[in-house]
Amino acid sequence: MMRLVAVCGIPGSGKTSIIRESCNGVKFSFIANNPESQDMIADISENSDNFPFKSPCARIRQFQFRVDMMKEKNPELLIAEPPGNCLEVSSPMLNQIYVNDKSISLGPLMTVIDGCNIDKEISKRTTEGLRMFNMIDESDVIVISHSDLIDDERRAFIKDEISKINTDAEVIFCSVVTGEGMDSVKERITGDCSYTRPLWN
Amino acid sequence: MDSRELFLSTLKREYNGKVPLCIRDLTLGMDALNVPTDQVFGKEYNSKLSAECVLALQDMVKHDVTMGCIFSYGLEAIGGVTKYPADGIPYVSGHPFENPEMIDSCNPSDITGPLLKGMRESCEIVHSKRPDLALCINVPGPLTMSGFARGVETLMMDFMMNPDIAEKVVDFSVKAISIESEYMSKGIADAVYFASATDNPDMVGDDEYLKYSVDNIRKLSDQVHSEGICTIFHPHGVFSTDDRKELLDWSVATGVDGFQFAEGNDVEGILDGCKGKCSILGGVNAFSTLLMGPDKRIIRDTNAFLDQLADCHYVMTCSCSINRGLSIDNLRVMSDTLAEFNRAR
Repeated sequence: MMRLVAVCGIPGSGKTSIIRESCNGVKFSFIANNPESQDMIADISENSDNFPFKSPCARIRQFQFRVDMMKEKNPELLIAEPPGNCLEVSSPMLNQIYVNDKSISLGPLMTVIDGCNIDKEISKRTTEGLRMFNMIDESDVIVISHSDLIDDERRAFIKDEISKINTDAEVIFCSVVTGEGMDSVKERITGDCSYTRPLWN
Repeated sequence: MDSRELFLSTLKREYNGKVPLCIRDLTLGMDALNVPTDQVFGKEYNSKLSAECVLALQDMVKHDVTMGCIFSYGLEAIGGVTKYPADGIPYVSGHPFENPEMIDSCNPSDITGPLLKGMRESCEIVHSKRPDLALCINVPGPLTMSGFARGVETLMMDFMMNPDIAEKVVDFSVKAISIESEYMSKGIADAVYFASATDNPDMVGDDEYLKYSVDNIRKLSDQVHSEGICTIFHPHGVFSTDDRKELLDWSVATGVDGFQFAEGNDVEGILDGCKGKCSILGGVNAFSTLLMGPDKRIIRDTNAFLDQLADCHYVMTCSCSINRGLSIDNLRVMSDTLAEFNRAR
């Protein structure tokens, strides 16, 4: 059975760098959000593809279509970034697969957030804040990138902000510079932890 | 008061009692009769079968508003390619203006080709069989039609690299939408629904949204109103936040009768911008709650929207259009929850 893990997050959050760093040496196929991200991973993945940019309404079908195409190559592990502008929540795409394709095992919904960008209150009154709120709300695992730039006080603040929205989420601090958290990310991607939060939220 | 009267009086903000249900049933009707997609979209569009599907679904879900036909965008008429997978949803696989030279060889009135004719016939059948139901015509918004015509990625590049081409594509699209909405709605429709997924400030930016979407929706809405027909605008993206307040104000100031918010918006922010200015549409997330259930979650979410919006000229919808593959039983749970709410009002 193919395992599918979605690694989500807004553009520039560090999704692709973290996948590259944590999964180097792992056998996996990859669908990127854009051709540049695909290029970053192409040399370490068995197969790779990217999503063309389409309207938000097409996003869910587009995701399933590309996953189906990749499934024909029989990978054991497929890592996918979300299609589109990455500003919308990602659980709808995975829900569609959860309902329609029992031959795929869904790994946790992982969202990468740049730790340097959680300065402001995660408020529903700003577009950026609302996006952040929705992404945290839907995630099983939240990967805080650039942890090498985050001190202990700030880590406590970030954890506290996340727990106000989603008490179930696991928070992993992670840095491609120091290597912090990479083993944990790899374990969540390749292990047996599964898609949970969006099914019950 | 029948379904049509309930929908129209709510949409026009003349009545604020029971809440009407509009599920924007684009292709789900085929599941109601277990009809393959390529049977409706065969060599010729099967209007009779389309209408049967629409009415069968209405009989099961009891919604007040139908879209009148099994829907496709009809881009074949201007050189586009649409695929109709037997068990799937029609999708655009070839954009008519991928080569921009094709724009000059097409006339916007070409859009009223055989497919639209068939869809119009289906709407007429539904309208004649069930005049008590409201009929709403689904047409794309300005940038949504432009995205289908040119390809979204290419259109976004055009805005930066080839603004002249972008202008031409949008201009053509707006004329085509105008012709399509008049052709489809005349004499039968209660409302025209501008389905506007790509009219989305998150995708195109605030300035382009105002210039291309808002200005053109105002013109299109005026034209539809001149025929005595209501309008609904459903742009995607976030409109409920303080930094988007102005965009929401401009969107509502187009004069549309109803504004439908998409997933990811906060209801309170939408209420701040719309209350007292237009009716509000939107509701239970089609891609999470309605797709997966369970019943308890559908009931919880339906009631949450009703509690917040029922007193504000609210037409209950799902968060987005409904297509085949969605559980009709789950939709019935939503509809039954609304019916119970209405009985208590």
